[in-house]
Amino acid sequence: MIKHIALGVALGALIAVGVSACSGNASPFIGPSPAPSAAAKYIQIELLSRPAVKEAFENFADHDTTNRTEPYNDPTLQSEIGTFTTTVAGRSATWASALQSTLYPNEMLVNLTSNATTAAYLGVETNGLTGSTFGGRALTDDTIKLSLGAIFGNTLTALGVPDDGKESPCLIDDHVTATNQTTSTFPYAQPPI
Amino acid sequence: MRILRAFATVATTALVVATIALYGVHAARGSDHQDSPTVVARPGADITDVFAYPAPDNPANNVVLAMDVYPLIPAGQSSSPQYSFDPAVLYQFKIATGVATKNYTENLVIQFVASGAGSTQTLTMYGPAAPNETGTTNTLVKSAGTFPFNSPATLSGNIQVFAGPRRDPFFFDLAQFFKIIPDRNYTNHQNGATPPPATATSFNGFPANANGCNTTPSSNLLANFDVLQIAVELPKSMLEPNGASTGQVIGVWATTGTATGS
Repeated sequence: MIKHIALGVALGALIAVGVSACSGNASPFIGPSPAPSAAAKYIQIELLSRPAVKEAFENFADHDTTNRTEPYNDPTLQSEIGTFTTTVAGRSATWASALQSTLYPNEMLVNLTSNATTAAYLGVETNGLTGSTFGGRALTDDTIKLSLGAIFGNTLTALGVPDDGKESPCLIDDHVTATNQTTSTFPYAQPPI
Repeated sequence: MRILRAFATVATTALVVATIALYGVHAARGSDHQDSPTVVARPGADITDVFAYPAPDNPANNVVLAMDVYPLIPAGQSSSPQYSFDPAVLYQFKIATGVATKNYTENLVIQFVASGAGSTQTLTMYGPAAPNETGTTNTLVKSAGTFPFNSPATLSGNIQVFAGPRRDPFFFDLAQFFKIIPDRNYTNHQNGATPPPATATSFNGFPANANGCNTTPSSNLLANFDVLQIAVELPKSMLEPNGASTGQVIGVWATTGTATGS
């Protein structure tokens, strides 16, 4: 397993060489604030849907590419899900293919017809196995544990993916739980601390 | 054991690497937090998380979409004027209603633009409406109303909106993650640097005798930080094409953009 990780990191590092220098601890930017015109055009610089997909599977050097593309037209993400899964995580090609088909296109699925009263990350993709058929993502969902279980554990066997016997038990859970509870009134997220 | 043997080969550099890793942890503590040089330079456009859930006050009929931006606002600092939304940025929720037929292209958008700065800032919501254009260059759709920073408001159509500081709801032992995969820490790429080798092969917090995994207590490095959140609660029917009563599965994502793409 460590050979896989070391290889993956080394490959990632090689790919990352040449990344333009970032600004580090640059001062927060607040731009000018003219009233936007109806003709104003905005060019995408950031994208996020499912948590920890880009961040876990994709080399840092490629994040900017994903950030600037449509989630259904990404030139790198799907292939890097496969590469990371088979090399860094050391899983089977079948396991990698299952993750690719589950996580791409990179859109968070929400079933508006579900009668569930709570969300559950990957609930649509797993037909409710993660806790709710609504899918989406709740403020307190442990998306990291779910993701680690799918990459390094045997979570996908519940979906009929054959167990490849290549789990990495020390990587299946970061053992951090939500301490930040929700509130009963909109916007439901906790006030700042 | 192979893990331990492999790491023994880099033992002589472990202390140096650990020092670098610890520096990195203090400089970058996010997941999608700080995930590219562009958004590191413009934290108001750095989306850290996206949420979609049934509205707790009306789960049968309403849905909440939320995006968090501006990572790592230190505890007690969220009222500082610098921690407001970036007026140069277009914040968007994009929705694809054709997922059931494998059409993942957005056909609804909800957009936000800020004006001013600090506690007097206002935000204007546009949509939900069909986008003027799909893809990565976008223009504003019809305005739905303007509301103040850090104060829940209700717009026409039974739409509730909020834009202001919240405690970061994300939780992750990110320090340990960066030890396992140093490539993902942006500070390891500064000035074209090559990320250091991994210094860990296990997350923390495992019970004793659990496959030799780390038993050191885990830690949520985001526990003491705030973010800025845009949240909108609206009738589910607004996200269904043509107000279809049968509803369906939709795809949701969030984007930020600027006039210059930087």
